[in-house]
Amino acid sequence: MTLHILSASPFAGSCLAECRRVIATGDALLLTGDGVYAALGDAAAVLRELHAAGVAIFALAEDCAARGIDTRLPDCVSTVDYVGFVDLAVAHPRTVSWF
Amino acid sequence: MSAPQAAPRRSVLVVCRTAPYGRSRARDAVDVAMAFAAFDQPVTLLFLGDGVLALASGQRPAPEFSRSLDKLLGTLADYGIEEVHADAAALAARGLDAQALALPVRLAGPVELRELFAAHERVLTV
Repeated sequence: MTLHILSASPFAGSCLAECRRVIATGDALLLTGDGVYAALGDAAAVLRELHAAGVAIFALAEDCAARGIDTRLPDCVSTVDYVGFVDLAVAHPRTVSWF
Repeated sequence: MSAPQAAPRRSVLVVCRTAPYGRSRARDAVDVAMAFAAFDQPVTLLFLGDGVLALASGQRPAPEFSRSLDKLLGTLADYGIEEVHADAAALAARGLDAQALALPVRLAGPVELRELFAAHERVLTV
């Protein structure tokens, strides 16, 4: 089980595309910083596909609120606070950063 | 007090995701892999996405740049780094095949990529 942390906008680079290539069923994906923009548009379709394939998807609530997308999150995305962030990191033996 | 002990050996996967020369990250990925190897940590290198461009043979950077990355990659075996993998789809998308590379690598498809991540205790993306 791996926690993937996406922290850059998927519209500016290849982070989500590369994460998608290696993420596996049972892994978790956490959106932080500009990574929360993955909840929008074409990227959200990728999130729905990953969720359907058994990937749990989270977004840091503070970063969503800062960017005004907390009201636009797709159903497959659960928000977490920093305590939840730590819980996720503890619960997964391996973390991988995508930026 | 007990005698100092060697650091525990933890397998690490170093993932290079950026092309060489435009930025220093590809060189950094190779350097950090060599550093892990120098400290006797089992290290595997994976070139993913644009990172596969670092593997192209025939790199000839201007002298003011650091020496070419493909020559540095040729010394990986001297550091005990035998495991070098490349994202097969990324190579194909960029028109590169095994003959176009500076060193022999293992080509990784979707299954092998996931196995690589699962098989290492630590993953460092650069």
